[in-house]
Amino acid sequence: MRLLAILFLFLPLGAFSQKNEIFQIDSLPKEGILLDKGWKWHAGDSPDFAKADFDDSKWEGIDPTKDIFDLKNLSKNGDIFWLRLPLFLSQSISKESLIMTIKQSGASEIFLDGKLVQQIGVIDKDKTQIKAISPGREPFSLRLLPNQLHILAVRYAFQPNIKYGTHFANTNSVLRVKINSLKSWHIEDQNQQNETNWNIVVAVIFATLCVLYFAFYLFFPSQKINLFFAIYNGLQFLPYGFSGFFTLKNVDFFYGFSNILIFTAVIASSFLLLAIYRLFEQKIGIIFWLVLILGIFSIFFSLYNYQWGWVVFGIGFNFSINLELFRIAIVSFLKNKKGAWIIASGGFIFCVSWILFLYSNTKGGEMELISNFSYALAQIAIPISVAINLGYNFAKTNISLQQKLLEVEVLSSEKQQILESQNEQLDKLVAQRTQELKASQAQLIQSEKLASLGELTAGIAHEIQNPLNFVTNFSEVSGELVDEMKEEIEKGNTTEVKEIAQDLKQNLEKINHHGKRASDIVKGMLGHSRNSTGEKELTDINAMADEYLRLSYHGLRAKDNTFISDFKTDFDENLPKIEVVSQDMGRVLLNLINNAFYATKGVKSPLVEIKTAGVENGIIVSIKDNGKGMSEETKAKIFQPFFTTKPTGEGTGLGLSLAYDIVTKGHGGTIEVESVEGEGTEFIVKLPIQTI
Amino acid sequence: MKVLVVDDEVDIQDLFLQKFRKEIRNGEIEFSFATSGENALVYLHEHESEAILILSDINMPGMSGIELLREIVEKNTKPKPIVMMITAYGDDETRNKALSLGADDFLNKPLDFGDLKERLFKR
Repeated sequence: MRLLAILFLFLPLGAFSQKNEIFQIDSLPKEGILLDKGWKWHAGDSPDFAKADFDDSKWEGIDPTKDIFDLKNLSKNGDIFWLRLPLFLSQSISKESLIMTIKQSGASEIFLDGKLVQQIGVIDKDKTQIKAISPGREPFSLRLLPNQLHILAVRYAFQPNIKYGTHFANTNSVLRVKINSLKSWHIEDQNQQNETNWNIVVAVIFATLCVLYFAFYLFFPSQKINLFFAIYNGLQFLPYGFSGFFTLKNVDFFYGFSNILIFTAVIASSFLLLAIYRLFEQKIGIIFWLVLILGIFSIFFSLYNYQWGWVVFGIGFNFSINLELFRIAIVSFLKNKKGAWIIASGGFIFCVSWILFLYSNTKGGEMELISNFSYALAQIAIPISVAINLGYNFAKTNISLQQKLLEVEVLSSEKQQILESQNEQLDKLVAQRTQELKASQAQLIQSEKLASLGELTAGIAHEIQNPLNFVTNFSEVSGELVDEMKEEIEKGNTTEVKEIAQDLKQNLEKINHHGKRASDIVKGMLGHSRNSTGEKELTDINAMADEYLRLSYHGLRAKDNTFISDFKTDFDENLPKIEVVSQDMGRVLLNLINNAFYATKGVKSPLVEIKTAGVENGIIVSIKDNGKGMSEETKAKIFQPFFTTKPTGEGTGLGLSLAYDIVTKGHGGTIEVESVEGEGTEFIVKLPIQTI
Repeated sequence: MKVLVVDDEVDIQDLFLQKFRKEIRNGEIEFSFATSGENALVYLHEHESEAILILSDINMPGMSGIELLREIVEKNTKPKPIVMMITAYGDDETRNKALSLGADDFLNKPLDFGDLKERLFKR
């Protein structure tokens, strides 16, 4: 970027006079005298060329301060040539110690009046050994006597295959010899040191920002903008870092590195632009792509097209980038984007500094400090403004976070209170609901009992009807027998009377038997409807199963006369009596049998089989049907309370659940189910002899 | 007259024997008993070609009275036996079903033996 300035740089010429092609020095200005006139050159190599009395009148004139690209006659591939300059020093400056500084693009040996006074770099007939060195600020003493003609002869060769920069205007000088007084050299050296110091300051700023942004990115990777800024600052560090910390005297390295810097500068600027776009939420538009294309062009121009490269890069690309940044900042500022005014200020400072820098350069050495300062300011104005913007944004974010935090604290304390009161209400509600649920559960269990009672009623009615019929019929027939007996007594037919008496006795027994049978049924019914007392008594499970099978069958038959089902019993005659709560166990059997009959509805040859068997330490009762069977899904749920496959209103869904509780919890037994869909279901109740 | 009474209640047998005491003694009627539909079919098979009046309960474990009736009708034995059905469920539907299947008469429990006698001797 510095290079751009040089376009506008008018190199001040020292006071000098030239007579008969002799470079005469009458006075020494502060900035010294550049030996840019009076030179002659000749291709070839001879020790004689160094001699003071050598006749070079046939040599061609040349200005070796010109760029090597402008001096096309010179061989660039390592051929040795010579330069000669006659020098004359006036008496007026004879008292001053003279210092010579040399900037060059090749290697040289400097002879004064035939004597070798300085060797800079290596000149060799073997071209591969040639080493180009530019000493830059390094001072060489020059012993010139006043009022005497001196001959400065320079043996010179270019190091082959150096890719000289094309972006420097007038920088690839063949040879720039400058003569200064020691005093003014010190001043100039100080100025150059200042420039180096500025470079170091700028380099440190870029390096710090690079680390800072990278750290931001590293710990918060979703903010890609910080990575862009880190890349920009890291790449920007390179030119300032190297020119600040290193003195690049090796010409090949200097140009090689300069060419790389062109490339990195284009990348850096593009990232800066991207970052700014992102910062102000601007879309990447045509301008960005145009500027980027310009950047790519400028790389090629810089490498291959002398004098145009730096124009395209410097004015075209670099200035466009800064203008675009300024434009975005202004647009964003007008849109009230947060912090845009900071970047806009940076852009403004850049423009002002740049103009100041260009102006100060036209004034030459007297404004050297301002020049250096304004140049550095122009370079760091935008990165610094971006950094300030970052700080500004962080501050804004922190302030808003703090506010949010306060709001959250207030909210959470409010919420805490609400939560507490809600919890209290919830606790009350839960307690209330639990109470209600308990009540309704008790009610439901009662309903289930009543429902099973309802199922029983029809069965009981039938069962009770039969013995009552017998009571009626036998008492009726007994009355007839008594009449008959009377007749036979009158006839004196004792045998017949005895026979009738025998029948009568038998009938009375039957009446008694069937009366008791009816009474038992009524007792059983009452027992079923009463709440369980929980008392266990020795019970014949065969008799119980038989009784409930009949009750169930007749109950279902009474409810639905189209219902027909066969049933079989296979009772183990040696089944031991076991202790059970008979009402409870009766309810279990009734439920299982009812379910079995229900399942056979609609199947061909419906059959329910009840089997009992003694097993080790217990008995099993199996209730098996050839009904519809159950799916695995249904099977998994059947013991859950309120699960039913019956149509709404027909089942409470509590039957099996209660049965399960009665068998397992009430009697320490197990109840298992085996079922195949379409084939049937078998419930197996296992009860221990000593129930719990 | 030969009558086969089919009922799972065994006591019904004594009742019939006592109620028809005179008739049995006079040789007017002869009773046989079966305690299930299956036994009834065995008896009928053994007494093929005899004129038998069948008096059957409907609700019995195993083969029900209705099934027995269906079997008898399907066998179509000659002479065709007279079948009278007895049930505790005296509803019209059961009655109509029995009659439509070919039952000759339908009686309700508890049995009115006077009525039964009349109906038997009408046959």
